[in-house]
Amino acid sequence: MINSFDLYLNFIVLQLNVFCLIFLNFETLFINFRVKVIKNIKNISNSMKVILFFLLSNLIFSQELTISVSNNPVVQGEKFRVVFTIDANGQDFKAPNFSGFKLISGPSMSSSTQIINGRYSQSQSWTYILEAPKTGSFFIGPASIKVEGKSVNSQRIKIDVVEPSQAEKERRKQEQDTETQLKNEAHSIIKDNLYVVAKANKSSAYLGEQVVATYTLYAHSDLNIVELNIDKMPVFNGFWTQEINLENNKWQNENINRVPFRKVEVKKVILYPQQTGNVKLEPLIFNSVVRLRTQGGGNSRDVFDQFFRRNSYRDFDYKVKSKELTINIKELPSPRPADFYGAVGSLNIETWFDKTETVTGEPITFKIKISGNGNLKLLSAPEITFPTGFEVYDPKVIDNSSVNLSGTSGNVQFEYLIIPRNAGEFKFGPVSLSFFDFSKTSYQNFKSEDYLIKVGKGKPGTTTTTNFVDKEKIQYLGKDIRFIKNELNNSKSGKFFLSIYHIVGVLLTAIIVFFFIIFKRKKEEDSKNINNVKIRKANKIAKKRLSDAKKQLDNSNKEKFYEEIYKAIFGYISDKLLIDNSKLNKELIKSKLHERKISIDVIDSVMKNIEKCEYVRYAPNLGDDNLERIYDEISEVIAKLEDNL
Amino acid sequence: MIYFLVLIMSFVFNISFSQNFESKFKEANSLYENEQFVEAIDLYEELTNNNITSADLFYNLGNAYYRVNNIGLSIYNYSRALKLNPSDEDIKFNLEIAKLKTIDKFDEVPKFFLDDLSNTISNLFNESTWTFINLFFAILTGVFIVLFNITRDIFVKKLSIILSFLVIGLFLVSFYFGYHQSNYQFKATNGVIISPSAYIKSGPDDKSTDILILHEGTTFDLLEEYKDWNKIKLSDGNVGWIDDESILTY
Repeated sequence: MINSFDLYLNFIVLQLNVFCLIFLNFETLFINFRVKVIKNIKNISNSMKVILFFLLSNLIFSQELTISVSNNPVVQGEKFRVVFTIDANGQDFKAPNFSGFKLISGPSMSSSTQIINGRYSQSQSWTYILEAPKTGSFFIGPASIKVEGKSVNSQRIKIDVVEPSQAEKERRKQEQDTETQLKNEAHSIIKDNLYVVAKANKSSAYLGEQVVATYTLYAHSDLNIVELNIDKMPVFNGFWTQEINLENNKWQNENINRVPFRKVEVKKVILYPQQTGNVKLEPLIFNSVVRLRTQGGGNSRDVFDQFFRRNSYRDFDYKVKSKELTINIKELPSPRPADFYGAVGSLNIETWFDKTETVTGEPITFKIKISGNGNLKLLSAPEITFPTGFEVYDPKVIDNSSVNLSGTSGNVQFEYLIIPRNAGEFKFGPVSLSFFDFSKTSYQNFKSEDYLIKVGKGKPGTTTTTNFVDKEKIQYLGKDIRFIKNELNNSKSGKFFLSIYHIVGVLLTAIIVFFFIIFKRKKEEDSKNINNVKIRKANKIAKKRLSDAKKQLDNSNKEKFYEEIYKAIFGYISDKLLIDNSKLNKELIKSKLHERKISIDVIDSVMKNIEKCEYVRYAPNLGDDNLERIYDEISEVIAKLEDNL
Repeated sequence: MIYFLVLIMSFVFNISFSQNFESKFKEANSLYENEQFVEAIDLYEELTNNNITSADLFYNLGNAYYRVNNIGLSIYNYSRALKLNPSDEDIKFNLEIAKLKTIDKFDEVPKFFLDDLSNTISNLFNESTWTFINLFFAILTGVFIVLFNITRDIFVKKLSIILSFLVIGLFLVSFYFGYHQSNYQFKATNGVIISPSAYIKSGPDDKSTDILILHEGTTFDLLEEYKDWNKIKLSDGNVGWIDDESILTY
């Protein structure tokens, strides 16, 4: 009765404990929980309580982390086991440092709980499998675990690693040799029966010329391939590649040297060489596991093997690797035409405009269609120079090409959208494009026709995109032109300069001035002539007057004599000096004669005689009677003046 | 004497003709004011076909073309007007406005300063004003020469001879500018592109390579004419050939 109850109670506690282990990993909770359990069972008899308490305390306080090693010392190269065990619920197990050993596997953890006849026991263990690669002494440090907040450590143990015995060494070596030999044999067998062939359809190609590379897996029909997966796919450096879809490829049978084989194309790729020289195609590598029947292993030491496993099977790892291929990529012949944009193949080019008549602001499209067999997918849009005044957008590429085993075929179309900004007629073309034809090994040139684009004036506002306007001028933009002129002021019917009016005007002025000068000159000339006559005749007149005076002297007419004498000298000087008789006086005569550089004696004599004449003329009775002497003196003076004037 | 009669006759004829001219001008102006620009253009153009030239007529015609958005002909007529009346502010202003609407813009090459100065001076007056100035100086020269001959006063004589030399100099200078201005005004020295766009070629034939493309309203200097081709110089210094069809010269 007690026993069965005890059992039942223990079972409950166990369950609760497991529950606690799973969900409540904290010791405080664990303790609380224990108190709860105790509270719940307080109606149990005292003796039962004592037992329960014993059991629980037993569970809590009996723990030790033990370490056990499967064998010690250990032979070098052999595997051994290390187990840590604790008879409690521990947490946070920390494995020691296995320095000097090689960890083969572990930790594998196990826990067990036993309740036998009321005895509750629980244990946890951690197992490691190690190998000792070197001889010598090594330590396995303490492992630790936490039990109810306390850290429990295992012991540190020393493990001696000893050298294997001579026989053991030989056995191992032999085993290894056998293994290697077996593997080599197997590999040599597999090699001829499982292989990948890499093939290219040409060994040399031009830059851009397509090359098809095929990787085919061959396997002997009877070969038991356990596993086959691709280890490494080739990467094609120096090529632009286009993979051909082989998903639906199936194994095919083929006899090679009368041996039945199965084959499948693993990878097929179209390559477009992008660099010249000898370019390598990487191998394709498979990892395979092949099952072969081994013939008892003649070298095997194992008697059991020899007798009972004569025809056993073994799996061998094998790397299936294709050969590396080299393709010689040739440079395209130079010189390359200027209008070569990298198009290669047997191509056909067409160009056209969707319309050649438009208005400003309304776009038109120029199209280039390249069709045929070649590197269509790689083509970049040719640079087309459109006439200025067109806004050119980036070309649109329409790819209608498809890839198949014979290469890329179909067509690629480039559409250039251009918008005329100015009206007018624009010549365009010819568009010239070159491509390299492999079949002819030469560049082929395409030349389009000439196009004439007629652009009419579109709606206002769509035109005139001035690219740059001076900042200074921008302020004018809003302004309008000034109004028309209402009065017609500046009209005229022709040139005025060098016109008849102009020429006549100038000439008339010149003529007037000319004639004026001529007239004036002539007048001057005339007056000059009169004077000359006067001067020339002065002496004559004077002499005539003197002779008249002489007559009066002979008649003793004193008064008349002086008058004639006075007239003679006065008149003479007046004529000579071209001064009017009425303006002449003594002072003027004196100064004028001075100007003419007449000697002072002569001037004095002239003056004396003039004075004498005047005196006699106004006082006749007082005159000098020596009229002869006066006459001679006057004659002498006039002669002297005549010489000097 | 007969010649003189012909002159008078033609003068009288001109007066009666210009009265008709003026009434048509006013008519075109009223069309312009009523925004019938196309009709106004027709009438103005009819007037320009007479041998009377008028800066105001060309100015109004340029305005009408501007209103119908024909910038090329607008600039052509403003330029003609400015040639006849180089000092008119309205013409200068509207030409500037019209040129803002052209497409081609150039970096102007600075001209040799003496050329520039000479142009500026000669553009101070139009050809007939220069001719009047020239005539005036011719007469003034005559006056001083006569004065020199008449006077007996030494000072006046000296002054008049100095002034007559000065005036002869001015006569020659005004003759030079008058000649310059008359050449500029009555010979085609410049041109404007009237087709929406035109190619400038390296030589005077169709096969020559295109140097550049010009657009409506771009003005240029005319250097030379050969058959149907014109050698032109742009304000940025570019020189090339263009055919007659796409330009008008003035």
